[in-house]
Amino acid sequence: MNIDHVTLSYDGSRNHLENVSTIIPQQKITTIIGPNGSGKSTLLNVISRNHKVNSGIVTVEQKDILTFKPKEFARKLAIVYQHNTTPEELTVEKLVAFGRVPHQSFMKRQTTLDDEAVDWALTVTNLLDKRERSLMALSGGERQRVWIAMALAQRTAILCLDEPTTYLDMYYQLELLDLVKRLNDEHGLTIVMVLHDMNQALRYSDHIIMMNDGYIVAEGTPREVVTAERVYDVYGVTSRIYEDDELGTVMLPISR
Amino acid sequence: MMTKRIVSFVGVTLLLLVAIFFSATTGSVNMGLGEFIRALFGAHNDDFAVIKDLRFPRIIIAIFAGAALSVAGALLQAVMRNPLADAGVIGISAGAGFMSMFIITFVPTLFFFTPLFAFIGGALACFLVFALSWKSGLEPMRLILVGIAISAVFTGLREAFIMICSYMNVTIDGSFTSNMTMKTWTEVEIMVLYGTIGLVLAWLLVKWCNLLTLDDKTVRSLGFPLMTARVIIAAVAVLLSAIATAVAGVISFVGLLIPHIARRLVGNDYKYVIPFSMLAGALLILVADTLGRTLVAPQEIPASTLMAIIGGPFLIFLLRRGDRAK
Repeated sequence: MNIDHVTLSYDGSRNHLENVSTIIPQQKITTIIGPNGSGKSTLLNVISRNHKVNSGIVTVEQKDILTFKPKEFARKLAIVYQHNTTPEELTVEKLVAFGRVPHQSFMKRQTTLDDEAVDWALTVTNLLDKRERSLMALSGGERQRVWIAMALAQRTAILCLDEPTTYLDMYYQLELLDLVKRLNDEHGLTIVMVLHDMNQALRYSDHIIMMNDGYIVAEGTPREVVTAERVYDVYGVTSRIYEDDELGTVMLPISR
Repeated sequence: MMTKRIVSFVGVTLLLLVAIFFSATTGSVNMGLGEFIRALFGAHNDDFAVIKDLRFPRIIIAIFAGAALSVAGALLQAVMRNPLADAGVIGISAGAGFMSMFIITFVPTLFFFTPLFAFIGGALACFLVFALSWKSGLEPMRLILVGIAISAVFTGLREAFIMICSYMNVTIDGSFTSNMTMKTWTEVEIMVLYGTIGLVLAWLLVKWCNLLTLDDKTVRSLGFPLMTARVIIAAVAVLLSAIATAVAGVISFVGLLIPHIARRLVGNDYKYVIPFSMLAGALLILVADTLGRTLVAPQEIPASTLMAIIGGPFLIFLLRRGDRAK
């Protein structure tokens, strides 16, 4: 996926993305980080075609994403949003099956291929035994996994996640990120996500894009991108960066 | 849940059959069950001939009107993401009623196209409600208020029109006075034809209705044509309420009451809500109409009047419950 000179302004007064160019590496975990209002979610919304850009182009498989038909694009890229309204009482299985919509049409309804994709998505997210449950009866962590399962049922090569851990307890945050890691390792998905927690980003990403004020400040491996100077420049926080044999790069914020 | 669903479906079907029998055999001409069934299967019976001509059209129209209005309500609730949407309450029926009356009074020869004009009027009202209450989403309360205003305007136009016509000695066809008496087989044909089309279409839209329970952005990320689906579902809802209004008059609250009960009994999946609403709506209107004509016989209370008496308090109940849920 290529992002080429993308500029976007919601209201015309200032650019929320300013001439952003980057390449999302295939079959890697890419995390976009940055303070509030830095444009990280905006960028995610641009590559998922949710926001229209003022100028620039985003391509998937060397094709402008705007030239895909909606369902065609939904077979290339899936996105899970930070917040989802929980529909009352629909079962997990029914919801996950909605992920097959891009593969269906009004005339062509559910096929065995669809059933297989749903089963696979439920297996990977460890929800098989919950398939008959209603969403209301699940914990926050399980619900978030249901939304991911729905996106997985789309069977796309690219999966986008907008702050997937925000509303979860620590235990479920790690569980979710382990799932993301597994999706990348074992199933070869290209992951693009926005994370708020710098250490989670450091720990789970192959590639980090750091943003501020609509610009890309730095990108590369976690170690290359996250330095004490940059953290101070972008977040206004002094910090200490450690290299741990087991954990990789770790950042400890000190003071503002 | 599954057992409850089955019990509910079987229960409502049986009740509907009982109601049909009761309604057919009660009134100025009475008949027992055995006699009725024998006549139904061909035995000659003079009373049955009377029942067939006088009561069957009425029963069929009540059943279809109830089914159509309930399903229309369920569809509107899906498309507006609002449990309070009902064709009567938000003015679609009033728009349909006014428009069909207006055109048929001037061009009585177009009688068979009544449903078409009703559809145009209903669609106009539905569009107005949508356009005027849309403010980056549909907030339930605003929708209801705008709907009530639209409904009032069309009801007012209709009444003004009736007044003006009576001044100018233009006769208005009796069938627009919102009741189910004196229904002919021609009207039954119209009702059954368009009603069946609408109900079958509604059944095909079940999955779309379920999809609309998700957030807009999620639905769009699936590549689903959200706006098109909304317009189509709304159009089917308008068709159903227009046909019911054109034949049986304006009946409010059915589309509010029945889908709500349906969700309680068979769950929120539209695959069950829609067919259950059909059966339960048919039952409710048939019972209301039968009670209306037997309670104070030989006088009649229109089904719409009975529905208003039951439905008004129910709307208040739903509003209060909604407040508490927040």
